[in-house]
Amino acid sequence: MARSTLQLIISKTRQDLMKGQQNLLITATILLFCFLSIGVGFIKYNDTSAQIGKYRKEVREQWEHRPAKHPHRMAHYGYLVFRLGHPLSIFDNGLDDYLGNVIFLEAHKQNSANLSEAGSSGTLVRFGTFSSAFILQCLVPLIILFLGFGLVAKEREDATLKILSTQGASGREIIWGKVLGLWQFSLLFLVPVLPVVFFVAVVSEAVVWTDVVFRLLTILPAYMVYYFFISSLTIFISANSRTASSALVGLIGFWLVLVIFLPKGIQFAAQNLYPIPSRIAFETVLEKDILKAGDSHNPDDPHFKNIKDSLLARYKVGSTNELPFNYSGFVMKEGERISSQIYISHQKELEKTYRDQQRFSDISAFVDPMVAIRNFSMIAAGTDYYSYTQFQKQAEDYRYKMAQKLNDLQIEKISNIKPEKGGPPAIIEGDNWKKFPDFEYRFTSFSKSIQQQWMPAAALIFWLTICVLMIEISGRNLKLI
Amino acid sequence: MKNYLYKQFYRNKAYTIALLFLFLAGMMAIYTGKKFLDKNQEIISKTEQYQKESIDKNVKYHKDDLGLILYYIKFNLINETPKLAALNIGMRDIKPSIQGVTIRNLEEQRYNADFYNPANAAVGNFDFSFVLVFLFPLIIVAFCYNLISEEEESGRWKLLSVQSSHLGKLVDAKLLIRFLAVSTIYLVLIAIAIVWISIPLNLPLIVFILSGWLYILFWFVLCRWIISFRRSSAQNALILLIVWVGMNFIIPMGSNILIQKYYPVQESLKAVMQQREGYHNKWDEEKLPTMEKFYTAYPQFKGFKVEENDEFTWTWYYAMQHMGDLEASSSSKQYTEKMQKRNKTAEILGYFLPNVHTQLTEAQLAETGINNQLEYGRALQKFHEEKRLSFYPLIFSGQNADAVNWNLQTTKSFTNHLSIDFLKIFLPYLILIISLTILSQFKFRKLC
Repeated sequence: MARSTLQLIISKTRQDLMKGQQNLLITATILLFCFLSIGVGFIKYNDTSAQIGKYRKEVREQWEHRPAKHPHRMAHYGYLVFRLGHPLSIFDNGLDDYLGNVIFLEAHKQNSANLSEAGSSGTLVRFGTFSSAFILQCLVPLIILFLGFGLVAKEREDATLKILSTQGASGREIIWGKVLGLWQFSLLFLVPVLPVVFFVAVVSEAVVWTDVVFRLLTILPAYMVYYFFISSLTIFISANSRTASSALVGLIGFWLVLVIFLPKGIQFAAQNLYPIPSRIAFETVLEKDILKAGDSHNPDDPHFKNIKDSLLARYKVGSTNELPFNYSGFVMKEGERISSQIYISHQKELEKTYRDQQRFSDISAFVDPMVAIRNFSMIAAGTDYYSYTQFQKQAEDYRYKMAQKLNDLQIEKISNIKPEKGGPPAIIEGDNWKKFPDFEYRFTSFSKSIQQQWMPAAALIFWLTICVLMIEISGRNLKLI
Repeated sequence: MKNYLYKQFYRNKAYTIALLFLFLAGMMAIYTGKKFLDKNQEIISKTEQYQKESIDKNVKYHKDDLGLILYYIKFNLINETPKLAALNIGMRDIKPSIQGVTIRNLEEQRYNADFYNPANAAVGNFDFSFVLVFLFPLIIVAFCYNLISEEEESGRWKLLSVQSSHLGKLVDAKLLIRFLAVSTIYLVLIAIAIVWISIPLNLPLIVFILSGWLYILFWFVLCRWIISFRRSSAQNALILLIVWVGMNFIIPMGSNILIQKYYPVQESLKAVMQQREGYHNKWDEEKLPTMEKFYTAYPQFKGFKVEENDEFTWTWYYAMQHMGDLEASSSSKQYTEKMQKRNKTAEILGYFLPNVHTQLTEAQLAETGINNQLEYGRALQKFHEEKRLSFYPLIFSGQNADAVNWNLQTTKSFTNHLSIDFLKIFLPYLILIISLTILSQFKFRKLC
């Protein structure tokens, strides 16, 4: 009996919402916007990936067709590696506009990624990116609260709530019914979008389809929880407001705080709590530390002088020219090892600051469910900062291997004695370059990302319990008149 | 009568709270701006010191090799940040206000941005312009959406219409009270910012204040028009909110994605690749063609000859470096043009959307917009060339470190020459405000 009353209220609420032509019009418009953004996103994604593919090929060909050269010259000729966003970025653009997508790799110098879309855009980019995720995260909640602000308050004003109660519906049933009815309607904004995203992401052929399915299967419940929260909040405020119009004002206030105010405030606080050094300060400290550990370019450096002396003693020779291998290659290799280590340790510090900022934002997801869904959605779409750092790591790894491989070639194949003027130059065959494999960017796996950043998901579950609490409280204390 | 309306407004707690909220948000924004300026200032002052240290160190290590000293030393050019930037941070958070370049090829160095957390950048700054553009309208809407409908819904409207023959005037008086209240908050915030950040009282500031104030006026006039249709409170609220969301999110975002699509800036990638080919290939090629190109670009250095069989010389080295810039120059130029086109499109959009217009105008006045970035980019290029040309003869003639007066090699600043086009700034506001006033005037005449 109780069950069927609940079901009745649910289906009545849902059907009332669906009956309104205005509501269906809004739903259709929202869906149209979503599809539009997916379409434009897809075209842009394809253009970018075609461009990057072309440049990647060009870089590889240029690399392979270098003539015979001194290996160290080749190390400075360097390599360019590119990052392509995850195809789900057409659903949730995340931080993609703000991440650089090309890094120039060369010996003993770590360049950072530059050339982000935002860097080439004007102020307009700061209004945000038009993506399905934005619509689903920011606009749909606004619509849900507009649809639902009067669901309880209006009924009370019209005294229909009392009638409902006299017919045997308890306060809990009414509230649960209204929330679930509104929530079911809200799924109309969400459910049709994901199959389209799936289709388009699979067509882009950048990843295997199971990866897309897997990611989308977590995105769906996450948004469902988010909408459940919005629906519960709407009904909660509606049930606890004297009039429908005050419920509306209160809800718009909530929306403002949750969607506009808090996310900015949180980032602002994170930035100030964990300040990032300027590039110039970072590079200066880095340079100082490298010089302290050993400067391969300084002939009187104690670290390298030590190495030289022990090598001369071990091979029992008088000068480095008599060593059986290329001495300057050896020095270079040692220098690379030192500078890379120091760089990585500094980079780690910087990364830690970023991570602290990120953690702050992740924790605040327990204060603002919008932050929870935003962060979770980015992680699931592979457009979060963590995924990007994996690209940086892969690139640095590749750079180090490249530099050391070329140093090895110098040690083995280049004569120790400087070529005389006009004599044969110290170079090695171009074939050597081809043997070095191309850079393959691997997307960060979803399971790894989520393991590193489980907090937004936990926050969503936390909000689910808050929802139940809100519903139970307002159900038990429901004022009928 | 006015006195009574005045009291009625301020007795309502919700209005006072809303005004307070606006004030606090504004204060937070001013604080953000202050913080930004301080950090910026700190970076700049530290950079001066770093540059000096770097010069000292390199001069000490490589005293006899000027070419090597200048291989390492970075010269910094400051993009001067006016105090007004505290109120509109614009792109300055992701584009550095100071950049250092060596005299090697520029293309490789010019895109190096400062560190920033992309997550912070994506959310955007909570600066004063944000509060003005996004939050002020919401409060204005909340103040005005039910000015007529509330009276109608409570049944007072009929009573009023019997008693008064100028209902329009009554509504206007209410609007005026609200406008004065919001304007006061706006001006108080600006005054606080001026004192706190010590913003100089100059023309850009006055234009900045005026444009923001016209933006506020625009929203009041828009509300006046919407409520004159005498729809229900809920409908008015919905319509105004849709306008707000559409104007602030959907249209700018949609336009941005289209701008990115129609003006893709792949040229920057291309420029990076071309400079790499332009420079690095020269190691494997004959020396004389490189030198020929270099002499064509800078005939004044024809005297410094390089022979094909010469070993490494700095003359050849820096000539090779310059080839990187030369070969990337057309892509680099195209890139700048694309950015200009992107900005132009946004400006045109701004003629129709006062919020975009306000953002762009204020960014321009605060020198935090794309135009400033482009000007600074040009200045950096010029700075780089001047440095090169002054050092080349010394390096090429094999001088040592003493040939340069290092004390003069301090950081330099670039000042943007702001040209304010009053017509372009104020006309879009005025056209919208006047036409909305006229439109609502028609409706207001028929009110009773």
